[in-house]
Order: sequence, then C-alpha cells, then structure tokens
Amino acid sequence: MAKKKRGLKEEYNLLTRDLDWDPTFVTREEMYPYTDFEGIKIHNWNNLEDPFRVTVESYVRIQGEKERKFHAIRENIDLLQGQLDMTDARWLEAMKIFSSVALNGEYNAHRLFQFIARHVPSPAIRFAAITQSVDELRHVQNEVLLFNNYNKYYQGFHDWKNYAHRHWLTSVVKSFFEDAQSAGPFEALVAIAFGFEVAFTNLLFVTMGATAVANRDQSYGAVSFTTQSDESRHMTLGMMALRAMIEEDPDNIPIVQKFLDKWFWKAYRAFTVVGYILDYIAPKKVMSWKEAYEMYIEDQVLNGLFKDLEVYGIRKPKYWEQTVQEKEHNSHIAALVLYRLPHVLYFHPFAPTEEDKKWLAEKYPESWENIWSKKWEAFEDPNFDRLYPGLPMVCQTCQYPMFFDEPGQPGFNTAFRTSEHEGEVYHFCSDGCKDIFDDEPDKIKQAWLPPHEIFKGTCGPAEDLANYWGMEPEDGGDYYESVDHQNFEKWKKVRA
Amino acid sequence: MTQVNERNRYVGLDLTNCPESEAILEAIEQDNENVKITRFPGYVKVEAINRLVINKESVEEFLGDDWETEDLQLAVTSYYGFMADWDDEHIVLQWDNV
Repeated sequence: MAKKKRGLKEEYNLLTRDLDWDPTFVTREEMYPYTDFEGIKIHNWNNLEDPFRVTVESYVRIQGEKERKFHAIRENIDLLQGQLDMTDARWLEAMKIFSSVALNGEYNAHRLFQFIARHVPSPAIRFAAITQSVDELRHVQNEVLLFNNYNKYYQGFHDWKNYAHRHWLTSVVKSFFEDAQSAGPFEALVAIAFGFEVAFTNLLFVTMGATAVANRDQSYGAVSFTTQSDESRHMTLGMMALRAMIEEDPDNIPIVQKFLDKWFWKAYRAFTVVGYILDYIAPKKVMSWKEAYEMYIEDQVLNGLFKDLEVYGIRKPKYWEQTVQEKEHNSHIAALVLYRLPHVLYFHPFAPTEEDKKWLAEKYPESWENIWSKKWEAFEDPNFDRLYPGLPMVCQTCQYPMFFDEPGQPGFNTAFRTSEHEGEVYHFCSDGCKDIFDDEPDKIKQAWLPPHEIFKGTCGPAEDLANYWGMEPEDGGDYYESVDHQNFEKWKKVRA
Repeated sequence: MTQVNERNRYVGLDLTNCPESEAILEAIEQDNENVKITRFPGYVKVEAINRLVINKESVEEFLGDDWETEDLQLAVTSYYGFMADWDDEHIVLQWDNV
C-alpha cells in the first residue's frame, strides 16, 4: 500500500518543531542564559507555531525559485542596457542612499536573527529566525550584485562599505541595529520584526519598489519585491511572537508596550529619508510619503493591528499622533537640510524642479503653499550661502541632525530637548528620542556620534574627511551639475 | 454589506505582478465578500473586510495548473492581518478581535 503524503501541518511538526530536544549535559538555564533577562514570562514554549509552516525542504524550494526569477531579470538588465532605460539618473541618488544604509542594515539583520535563533528557547521561533538570518544574507548578496551593475556607469556606488561604516548620515541606521543587537532577545525581536518588518520596510520595499518600476529601474524593482517577499514571513514571526508574549502572561504587557513604544519611534525616525526619496528624488512619483504613511502605517498598523491588540491592554505606540502630524512636513525638512550639504554627501542633493514643485503642491496642498515652497524660494536669493557651515549637531538617540520641528509648529521652530546624566548634557531631536535615552542612559550615552568623533580627531584631519568616508570628488555636489547627470543626458541621446 | 468602521477593518495582501497573482486575485474575488483591489506599478493590493480566504482549489481553477498554498510565498510581497490558518487546502488572513 502506498504511503499517504503527509499534510503541511504534520510535516512541519515532524520536521521542525518536534526536532527540538531538552538538554542533558547542561541545564536549560545554562543553554538559554538570556531568557529571563528582560522579565518576559512564557509558560509553554511549545504553544508557539509558525503559521507559514516552513520546513527546510519547502524553504529551499521556494527560495531557489525566487533566486531563479531574480537572477534572470538581473542578467537581462546587463544584456539590454537597463542602466540607460531609467526616466532620469536622478533616481539613482535614491539607490546611493539605499546601498549605503541597507546593505549594512541587511547584514546586521542577519546577525540579529542569528542572535534571536540562538537565544529564544522556542523551537518555532528559533527555526523561523534561522531561515530569516539566511534570507538577510540573500538580500545583502543580491543587492551587492545589483549595485555592481550601477557602479560600472555611475558615481557613488564604489565604496558602499566605507560609506556604511564611516559616513555621518549612515550612522542613523547603524546605530538602530547596534541598539537592537545589544538588547535582550525579545527586544531584538520586536525591534526587527515589528519596528522594521511589520511596519516600516513596506515603505522601503513596496512603495519604493513601485516607484522604481514607474521609473523603469528594473533592478531595484526586482530586488525590492524579492526581498520584501521574505519579509512577509518575517512579519508572521513578529506578529506570532508579539501575540505570544502578550497572551502568555499579563506581566508581559508593560514590557512589550515599552518595546513597541521605543521601536516604533526608532524605526519611524530612521525611515525619514524614505520620505525624501518618494517626494523629492524620484523623477516620476507614485505615492507621496504622506499617502504611503496613511496606507502602510495608519491603516494597516495603527488602526489595523493595534485595534486587535487593545483587548489585551496594549495601546498605540507613544507619540503616534506626532508621527501622523509630521507626515505633512518631514520629507521637506530632510530635503531642505540635505540641499545645504552637497559638500559632505556621497550622493547629489538638488532643489526641486518646476515639475517636482507642481506635484508637491498637489500632494501637500496646505503645508507646501504655506510653508515649504517659501523655504525653497528663500534659497533662490542670490545672496543665500548654500553650504551649511560646520557640522550639524545630531540627536543622541536617532543620530539625525537636529532638524525636526516642535510638534505643531512646522517650519519655524526646531525642536530641542536635553537630559543631564552624570553631569553631562545630552541632546535630542524629540520627546520620543529623549524618552528612550532617559530609560537607558547608560546604554545610549555610549552612542558613537560622528560630529563628536570628528571634533575629537578620531576620523583623521578635518580636511581629509571625504577620503575617510571613502568619497571621490565626483560623488558629491548638486545633481544638476554632476557627471552622472551629464553622462545620462549624453547616453540618452546616443541611445535615442 | 459590512462597512469599514472602528472595529471592522480591512485585511489585505500585496501581490507582485505575475500570472499566479492574477489567478490568486480571481480566486479571492470569487470566494470573499467586499473585496477591494488597487493596482500600483509592479504590484496589486487586494483587501477584504476582517477576513480573507484563499482556496487552493479556486486558485488552481483560475490558473489552469497545480498550485500549492505554500506557493503564495512566491507572489506575496507584503500583507496585513493575522495568518489565522495555513494548511494544504486554504489560507486564512483575519483580524481576531473585531
């Protein structure tokens, strides 16, 4: 008699969950030393199940298929000269930002999942985290390959590792992961799976992916959708773990709430630059930051997920109202500040064209006309000195320059918070960032702040900073005066 | 017809453009009520109020080929709601506390 094929659930239980064992050479506490570190109580680790029911066999088959699709597209880009098909090379300024922050971010996410897989004593979570750490490596490798192609033709892609490790702007994302990696395993899980994957990576990989497609950048279109398809599995892990922590013990509620408050705010701040990409850099625009925020964060997370969690006593993350208010403003703030820093960036900032302005006025009917268009007009004054003198002061927690406004006072009043700790004064861009510091001052005080280190001399002589960051002279400067722009215009004519 | 309000909320999937996604969309439209479809460059968002079911049998019918529920992973790029059930025959996405 032929054996009946095992169902998905049985297969998963046999090949994943039931392969777990109890240690005999050491105690369980010795094997998982961080389980109690954060005060999270889980009574039955076997209650958790991964709804995706991934086994090694299905994982390898599905991922192999994804890789096959991706590499077919990537090779075609080389063959068909995809680097010339874009609406405008200005789109690549977004890719330069992406390569310098995301590659290192993906690699750190890989390490973070290894840490979670090692230290959370649930077979379902550990197995899911192992596959996810492999996913993250796949993302880094695919993205490096992708930028290899751009690097043959354009500036700003030749030294992403140095930009990622040393440049002042990339420090924002680096510090995000360093904070998560030095937290306990449950906080690490909330940081990556909730803060990034359930909430904010949608804006990076789905909205930005659609924008890449609209700008005929097939490479990023392909890489973003294949990357985000893994993130769907990661979201499930995040949601499963979040619910398990909440349901297992009422004592977990305040701890989980604190994780959610912290990592929602940290991820929100870290993604500010995505608003700049959607609203400014993209030559052809698909969705504004405001629209994307409403769809992916307000509808899906704040008014979707959190409605489901409120019966357990979980409320929306602290300062969510401020994030909703700021959706009108923050992309403009980032664009205005970056415009003044063309000498210290490895990509090309620029002022919006007439076409950009028309779109911005349509998408931001109130804030554009009353505030932000006026700020750009002021820059047109011939006496205006574009280059920002000196180094920007950065927030101790999120490490962005202190350029965000007081809540409710957009455009006119930069927010400024301080805390004193052991006789030292620390500076913050917002209440959200100040709260995070005040809760763990001895951790956050250790942050490596680029302007401070530059002044201390850690980064070598000031006149040699560009070299320290890995920059070539053609990397910076205004987009419309750049070699990239000139070349693209020239190549476009040849191709036409 | 259920209306979206304080408690009744959409759940949804973002599907990358590919032939399988079209079959999944048709299956969802056939097997669920209040389905909303929005197209974007490169992907499509499909949503239903509170609960969305994908049946293997329906997808296979529209695709005209074999399709395993785990193959959803090749098409789905993002989703929201809880994965309430996922077995060989169907996938259920829902909010639990409506």
